[in-house]
Order: sequence, then C-alpha cells, then structure tokens
Amino acid sequence: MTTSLTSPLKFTVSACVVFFSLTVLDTMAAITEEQALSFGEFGLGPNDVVSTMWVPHNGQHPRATNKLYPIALGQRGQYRLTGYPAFTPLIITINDFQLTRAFSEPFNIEDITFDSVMTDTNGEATLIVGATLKTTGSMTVYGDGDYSGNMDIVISW
Amino acid sequence: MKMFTKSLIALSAGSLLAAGANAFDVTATVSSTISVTETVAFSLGTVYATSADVTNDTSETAGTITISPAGVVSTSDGTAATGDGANAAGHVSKFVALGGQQAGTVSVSGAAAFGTVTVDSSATPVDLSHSSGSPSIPDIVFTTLTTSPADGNTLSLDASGAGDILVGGTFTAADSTSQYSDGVYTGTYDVTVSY
Repeated sequence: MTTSLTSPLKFTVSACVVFFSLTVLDTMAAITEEQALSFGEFGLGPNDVVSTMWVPHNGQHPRATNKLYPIALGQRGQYRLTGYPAFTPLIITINDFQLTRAFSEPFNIEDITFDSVMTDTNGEATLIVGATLKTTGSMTVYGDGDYSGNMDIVISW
Repeated sequence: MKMFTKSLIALSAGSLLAAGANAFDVTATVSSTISVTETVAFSLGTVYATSADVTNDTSETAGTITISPAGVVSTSDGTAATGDGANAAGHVSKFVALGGQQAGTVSVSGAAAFGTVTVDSSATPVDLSHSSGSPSIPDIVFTTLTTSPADGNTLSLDASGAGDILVGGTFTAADSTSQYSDGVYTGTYDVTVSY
C-alpha cells in the first residue's frame, strides 16, 4: 500500500481563551420594605449634650435619653429578603448614616443592630433593624420638621 | 489531507460574588414647639380702685390687690395723702374687691408624655388700660406676674403630654393726678414653656 502525500500536513490550532471575572448582581434577589425604620416624633431641649432615641431591633420599647422627649414612638425597620439561595447565611452590612433637613443640624444614626439572617427553603428571610438616633450636642438648635435619610442595606453571601 | 483542529478554552470564572443592595427611607420628626393656651382667664374681676398721686405727694403710696395662683385675693391699702398733691389729705389709694376675681390657668398640650417643661414667666406684663384708650384715665399697674410652678421651675406633664400652669399676680394703683373711670381695663401677660 502506498501512500502519497500530495500536500504538507496541515495543523490548524485554534486557541480560544476566555477569561471571566464575574461579579453577579443577582437580579432575582430582592429586599422589600415591610415596615420603615422610624424614630417617631419628639421634642428637644437645648442641644448642649448628646441626646439619644434608641429603637431596639428585638422588640423592646424605644427609649430616650437626656433632652430628647418622645411624643410619638418610633418603630424598628422590617425588610423581606427574597430570591436568595436556600438555607444560606446572608452577610448584612448597614453603615451609619444621617437624617437631614434643609438648613438644620443633622441627626446621626448609629449602633445599627439586627440578628443574623439565614434563608429558608424558599431562599427567603426577614431582616429586622434597630438603631440609635443621636443629636450632635453641638449647641446648634434643631428646627421643627421632618428629617429623613437613606439606610443602605447591602447583602451578600 | 489531515486537519487537526484544536480548540482550547480556558475558563477562569473567578469568585462568584453575589450581592444585593437597596436604600430605604428612615425618618424622624422634631416637634419642639409646645402648645400653650389660656384655658381659664386671669381676671381682676370687679373692683373699686383709687389712684395715688405719689409724684406730687411723696408721703402717699399706692394700694395693691393680689390674686394668688390658688385664687386667694388680698388687698393692701396705700398710705394716706397729706394734701400736697392732687388728692386731699386723708385720701387713701386702695382696691376693694367686689367679686369675680379669678386666677388664670394656662394649659400646656401636645408635649411629650410624662415629660417636663420649664416655665418662663419672667416677661414684664402689660398694664391694664381703659377700653376707651383715653390717656387721661390711669392704668392699673400689673406689678407682678406669679405662676405655679414659679418662673424657672419645671412642670411635670401627664400621660398625654399635658399640664396646667396657674396664674396670679399683683396689681398696683397708678401714680396719677386723675382717678379711675368705670369701664373695662385690659392688659396682657406672657407665659412660655420649653423642654
């Protein structure tokens, strides 16, 4: 048997290199507010000391200190987490923030508390958030009115 | 002809970080303004009053009438005139209470439940003047405003954030060469509260 090579052996090498650096912002995961965190309505004496309004996440009664006088009590925040992997501990991150009103002294929102969260069989969980509102104690008077701010809830797993 | 086709796919998937982030509104309302209303009028009632010409008769002094925050009425006659001024010798400036004297009540509301507020009644009250506005009719001098709790003290509020301040005062007959005319005399006083 004779083999005749009529053309040189041809090698075609096709190399396809794909690098993935993937950060997925899961569009299925959602955080839905069921009850907004609120510090209620209160009167303030002279802002010569840091006064606080503590809204506990564990259901305890809100409590004020120093020269902050509650008129209508606030409430803890409650958020429904859905679309997460089942039976997964979620890493919750909420940084301190401020409540502001135009031309007024801001309130500092600190000591944000919540329990650890594990999703259920449906990949859902409830996050309950408490926090402490603090006056600045800077002697600057807080004007009457509504103060608001954004609380960023970051969840990863 | 022999063809080799070699496909090489390298996949580096890195770490799969999944995260969700949302911002939610958080609110607070400041209501440091407290409602203060006179719910019972502070009234001198009906009185008989005579003025004193103290400027021209330095021996003469003016009579006074006091209504305590508890509503107790007391009067004090002035020293008799010597006749050096507009009033004849022996004239005595005085108030005689004829009825209707009443301590006032200033009610605090809309404040914090079981809170305390500080009473400020230090502002000088405005004398009572005749309804005609005539400058020839002397005023009834609103000498002292007295409150309970007293000026600078605290008032404890109830479960609804309310409480009462009782109001009294002392009035003195005017230093005038004229005497009082019948009619209604009105003045004003200020009571403020703060946390």
